[in-house]
Amino acid sequence: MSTINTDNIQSQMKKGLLEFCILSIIKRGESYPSDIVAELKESGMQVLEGTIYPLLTRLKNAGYLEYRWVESTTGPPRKYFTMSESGKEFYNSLETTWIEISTAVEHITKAKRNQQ
Amino acid sequence: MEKIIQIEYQGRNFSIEESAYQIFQQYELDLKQFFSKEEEGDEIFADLQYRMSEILEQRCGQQTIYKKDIEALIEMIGKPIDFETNDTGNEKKSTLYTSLKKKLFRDKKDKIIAGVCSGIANYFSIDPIIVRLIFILFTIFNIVTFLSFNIGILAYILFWVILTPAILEPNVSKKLFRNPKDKILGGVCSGIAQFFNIETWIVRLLFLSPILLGFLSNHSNFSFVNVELISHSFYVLSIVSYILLWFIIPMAKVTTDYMLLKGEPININTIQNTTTMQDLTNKNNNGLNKFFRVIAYFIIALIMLIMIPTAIGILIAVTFSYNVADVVLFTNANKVLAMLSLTLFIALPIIGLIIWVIRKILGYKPNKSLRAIFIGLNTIGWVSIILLAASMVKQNNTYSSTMQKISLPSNIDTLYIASTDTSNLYNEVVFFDINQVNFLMEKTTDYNLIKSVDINYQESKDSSIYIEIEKSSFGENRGFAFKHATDAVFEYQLDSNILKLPAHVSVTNKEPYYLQNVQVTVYVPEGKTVITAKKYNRQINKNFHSSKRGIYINHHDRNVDEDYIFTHRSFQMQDQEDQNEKLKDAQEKLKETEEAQLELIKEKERELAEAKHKLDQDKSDQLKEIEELKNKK
Repeated sequence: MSTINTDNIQSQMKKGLLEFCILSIIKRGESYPSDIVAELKESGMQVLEGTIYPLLTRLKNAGYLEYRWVESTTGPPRKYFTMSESGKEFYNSLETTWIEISTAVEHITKAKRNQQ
Repeated sequence: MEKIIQIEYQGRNFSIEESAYQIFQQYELDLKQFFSKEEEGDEIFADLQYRMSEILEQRCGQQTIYKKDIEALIEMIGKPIDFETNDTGNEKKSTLYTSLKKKLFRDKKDKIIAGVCSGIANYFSIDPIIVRLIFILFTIFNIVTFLSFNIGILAYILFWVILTPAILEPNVSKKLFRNPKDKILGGVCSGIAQFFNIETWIVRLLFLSPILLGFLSNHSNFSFVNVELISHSFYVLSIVSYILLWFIIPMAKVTTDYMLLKGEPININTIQNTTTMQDLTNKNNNGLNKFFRVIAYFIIALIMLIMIPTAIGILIAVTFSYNVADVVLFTNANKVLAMLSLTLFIALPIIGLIIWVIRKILGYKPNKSLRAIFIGLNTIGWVSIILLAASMVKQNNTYSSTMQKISLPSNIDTLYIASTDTSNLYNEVVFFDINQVNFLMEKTTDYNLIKSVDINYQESKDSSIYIEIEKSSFGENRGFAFKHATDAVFEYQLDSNILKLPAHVSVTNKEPYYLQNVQVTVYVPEGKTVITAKKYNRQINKNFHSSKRGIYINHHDRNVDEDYIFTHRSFQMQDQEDQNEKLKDAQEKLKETEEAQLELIKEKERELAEAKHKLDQDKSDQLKEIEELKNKK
């Protein structure tokens, strides 16, 4: 029971942040999903492509992302994602929350460490 | 050496090792299945497919794709089970599932017709197979018992209309699947073995043993018990149940199916275990599998050998007795249905089986469009045979009969049964007699004469010989059935000790044939004898043989071409000689009566000849007189 809860909490934490990270990568400019994965991995965030695609599709259907087909040299055209206006608003609200939470968490965990 | 195949995937061409391609297809199916639960699943799946083709191209280009490449691909994309833990949708689904749990739905996902059985199973948290089996057995039982409406089918249609469809999550931890990884015909046995966690060959042997027993009993003589009958019914049962299970148990497709089959909890560890285990089952028991495969094909070949002549026989019978269709089916609609079911339900599967075996031998891959055409046509056959059966059952669902008793004077010791039918049609015994097949004797302007007369011989408790004639019929209801039975004409003539019976029952041709039948039962008291002329036996015994309870003396086989002699004696064994003497007496008596009859006929003929002669003489005398008179003039 307890292990399942830990798993669950960890995945919950990861999931919320993953969306935030993806959005911040796309905010910088037009991106291709596998490039997003590569960048996430580079910064030390372990993620599977099979997880990214559903998230992108959901964000796109929510209106936060847009995509266009870009001709590729090797095969059929690829799907590139950009951020929409409402996506930017959504990103800003997420960013505010993130800053709030991260400062709070930082503060709490630091205080605890100092106590020890 | 592994086979390497060329595929086109997402607009790109690859060459890939066959086993690697199988793993890839399996993985793709797993993904599809996983995402199909979500609204935007199709889009996600399409994106992933594109991405996979891109990865494969980047990795291998024009080179052959091996197992390790596919494994690397799976590592990049991830297994469905890994997405699940990262997904809040998981919780949404489980709450949805609990809210659905206590309501009855039709299952949109796991269905054969409309998902009724699967929905009911889900409601009770049991394997849908159980509900399907109960439903099928109930329906078959219902058909066999000739009820005018089928409760099973009716209930199914009712549920179909009333229940709303929903996508239901499977809520059983163990589920029966057919196992395509280790199959000989349909993977039924190995699926059952996996389900019960026993060795596959045990289940196979259980299915095969009745058939093997059948062969054994055919070639050995167990006279004390009827082994043959028992084993025959068992092997029909084992073949029928295999086909039935093949039809209703779904094929395991994705990894989670295999785990449900074994009743394992689904998580990352078990999924990994399963993938390695699947490879194992493939290599396991290879020699044993070969053995079972040989036997399976041998049985199929045998069934074909039996089925093909049977089908040809049916076709010949139907062609030659085309007028049977007129009498029994009666309406054009029924005739069309009969033709459709004959070709699409009987002939087509046999042709299909032959094609299948030939293709298998020549090593062709299964052809999807061919299979689709076959299934489509066969479905029409199924529908028409069901409609035809329904129409026939509606027409003939109630039975009724009427009885008539003829008592003979007690001084008659020997009754002689002969035929009223003077036709010579049945006098000759030939090897293949079309008239045996054709139960319709003749058509007159108002009647169809139908060979549907049985004769039974029984011991009488009375002191004199008596005969019961029971006319029976089916009909839409009791009243109609009784009317058809009484309207059927069966006229006998009794002339002292000679009873003349028709070999047919006459039925009006303004209506279809309602299976009218005449049962003649002759009750013979101790010490008296009934002798049935062989000509009459030939006329009636071909299609509807008589059941001969009681004691009969002169032969053990109804096909022996002799007069049929029945005497009643008490059940205590009497001396054989005594019996033989009685028999001789009876035969002598018959001969005497026949001789006497012949004598009588000869005498009559002689008298007739004399009379004629006399007449002729008179005539010539008169002519002479006339001439004399003329001369005188």
